[in-house]
Amino acid sequence: MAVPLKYNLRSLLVRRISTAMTGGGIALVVAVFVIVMAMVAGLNSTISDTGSPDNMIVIRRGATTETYSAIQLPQFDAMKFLPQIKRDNAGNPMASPELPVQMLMQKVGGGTDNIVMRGVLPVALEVHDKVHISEGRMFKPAVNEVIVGKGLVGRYENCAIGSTLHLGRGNWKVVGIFDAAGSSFESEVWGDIHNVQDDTQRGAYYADVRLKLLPGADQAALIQRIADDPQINLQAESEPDYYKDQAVVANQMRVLGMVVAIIMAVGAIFGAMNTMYAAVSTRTTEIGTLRALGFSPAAVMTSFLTEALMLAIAAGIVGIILAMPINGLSTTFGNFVTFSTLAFSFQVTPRIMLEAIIFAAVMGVFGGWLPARQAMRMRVVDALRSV
Amino acid sequence: MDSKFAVDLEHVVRTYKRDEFEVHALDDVTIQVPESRFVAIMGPSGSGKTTMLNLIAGIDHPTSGRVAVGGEEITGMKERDLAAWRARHIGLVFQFYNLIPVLTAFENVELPLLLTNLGKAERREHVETALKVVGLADRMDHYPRQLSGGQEQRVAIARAIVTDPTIVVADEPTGDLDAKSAEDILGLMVDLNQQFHKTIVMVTHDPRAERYVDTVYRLDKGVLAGVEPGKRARGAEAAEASA
Ligand SMILES: Nc1ncnc2c1ncn2[C@@H]1O[C@H](COP(=O)(O)OP(=O)(O)O)[C@@H](O)[C@H]1O
Ligand SMILES: [Mg+2]
Repeated sequence: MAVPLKYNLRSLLVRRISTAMTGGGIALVVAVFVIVMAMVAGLNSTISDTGSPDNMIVIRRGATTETYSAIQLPQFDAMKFLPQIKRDNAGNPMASPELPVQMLMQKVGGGTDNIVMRGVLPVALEVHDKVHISEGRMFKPAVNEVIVGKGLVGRYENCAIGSTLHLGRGNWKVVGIFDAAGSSFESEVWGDIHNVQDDTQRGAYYADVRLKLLPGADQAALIQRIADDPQINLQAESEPDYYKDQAVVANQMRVLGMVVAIIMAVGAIFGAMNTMYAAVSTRTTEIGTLRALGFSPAAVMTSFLTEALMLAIAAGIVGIILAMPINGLSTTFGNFVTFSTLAFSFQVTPRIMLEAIIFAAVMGVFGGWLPARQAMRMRVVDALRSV
Repeated sequence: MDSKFAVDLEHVVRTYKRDEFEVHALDDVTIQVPESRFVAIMGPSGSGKTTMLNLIAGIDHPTSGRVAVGGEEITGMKERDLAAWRARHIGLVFQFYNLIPVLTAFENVELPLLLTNLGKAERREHVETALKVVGLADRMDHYPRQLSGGQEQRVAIARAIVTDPTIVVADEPTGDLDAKSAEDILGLMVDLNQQFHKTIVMVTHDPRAERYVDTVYRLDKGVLAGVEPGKRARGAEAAEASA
């Protein structure tokens, strides 16, 4: 049978200072871990939430992002009446040609960022069903009017309705603000695709086309058709698949975060190890006594390992609490894939909390293992003679 | 070695290696302690008393010779079995009490019972009984630092008897106590021996102890130098003789 837990709990409380210092180290590592992972989760969901499961994105064959894609008008015309594509009430296909371009925007408080300005047609609002005008109205075709994603409002100059935005070569009047359920569209400015084409002086082409599909449409067949039809010859993908690939940046952040967390964890593990070695050595007589009373070597080892675990898990909880204020905080992030800036908010998810506790526990086990083994291997007679 | 003795040591040798020297802590010691006796092992410091007690308690192994306790030979037992055996058969009392400082008197006494399959309620009953026997039923929730040395040793004795062990071994149980507390502890041990018929093997170099025990084993430099009846036994013999 095991040495009672209260023995370990009270022993930790008795050496308050060293417990607090060791726990503090672990808590800090856990807090950093939680913050990085909350950032990754926030980025991930912002990017992945951008897609709708019943939407397809069509781009040039071999292109990896819409920014590096180009589609000619005849290709679009050959594609838009395919049977899988949903029609609106007037019978027009829900196919949205789009032209996202990078434009520099003035930040509030100085400096500039690359922002996506997306040239679209009014059908875009039907295809991207998460996008809603929350203030003002939709831009009118053929005039230099734009609507602004709400993620940009307050972060960049001249985003208020009625202001004039200087983007590219032109001046654009802001007539509306839109939201997009927290997705990356909220970090974009949308205007008439023809005006955007004119502004960039790169001729009448689109970068990509978004298609809203009929419920239950055969996606595989559509992808095949778009690839094989000689008049189309493009690459189609469901939006969720496309944005999953776009989230690589979040995954790179995750790897970076893990590396940093592990390096810091090594420090915390040595701290815990030091504390537990000290605990074992000051409690040698207690260990000898427990063993002499008949507690097995394994019970003694388990007891000290449990003590390290208790300390680490409590510290992990403190670390999560320390990191909690970050939850929901929104900020911007330079997106290395498309080189445009993304507004997102940190998300401390239950999964991250669980991972943080496991991470703390792992630190506890690594820090406690050798000292606990030393406690286990002590010879009873020697331990008792150490008085 | 089929013996009816509570303690039976045959040609026990315990040698410690210290650097290149060999220390003969015990050198060919043979003793038999019958059941229900209260005996003392006496001798100068370094004579091998603790070593002998540790061998009897199964927390050390002889270099050669055989050790049997309660009729059971423990010489060849594996460490795991020995730990379980100790929990069942041995009650330990130390010079410095060796109570766990973060546990209360109750919890300290309860410790050995955690190695049995008694339920919580039964454990409580046993602990309360043991603490009552040592006269500390009212100090159950005190921590060791809130007790005097004599009281700490009483708690330790309660811990030693709570499992109703085959024998109680005590290493200088009065060594750290003032004269009054020492007499109290010795009196308590006599009570345990007489009321509960516990075999008690006590290491001491306290000359007062002689008056309380049945037999004194004298060790000198690891060798059994003599076996004498204690004054209590002599008193009993005298009483028998005059009757
Ligand atoms: N673990 C050990 N290593 C080396 N020598 C030891 C060890 N334990 C005891 N001894 C030696 O054995 C002898 C007997 O010790 P001990 O049994 O403690 O004597 P006592 O209890 O009578 O004072 C001493 O010389 C002591 O130094
Ligand atoms: Mg000694």
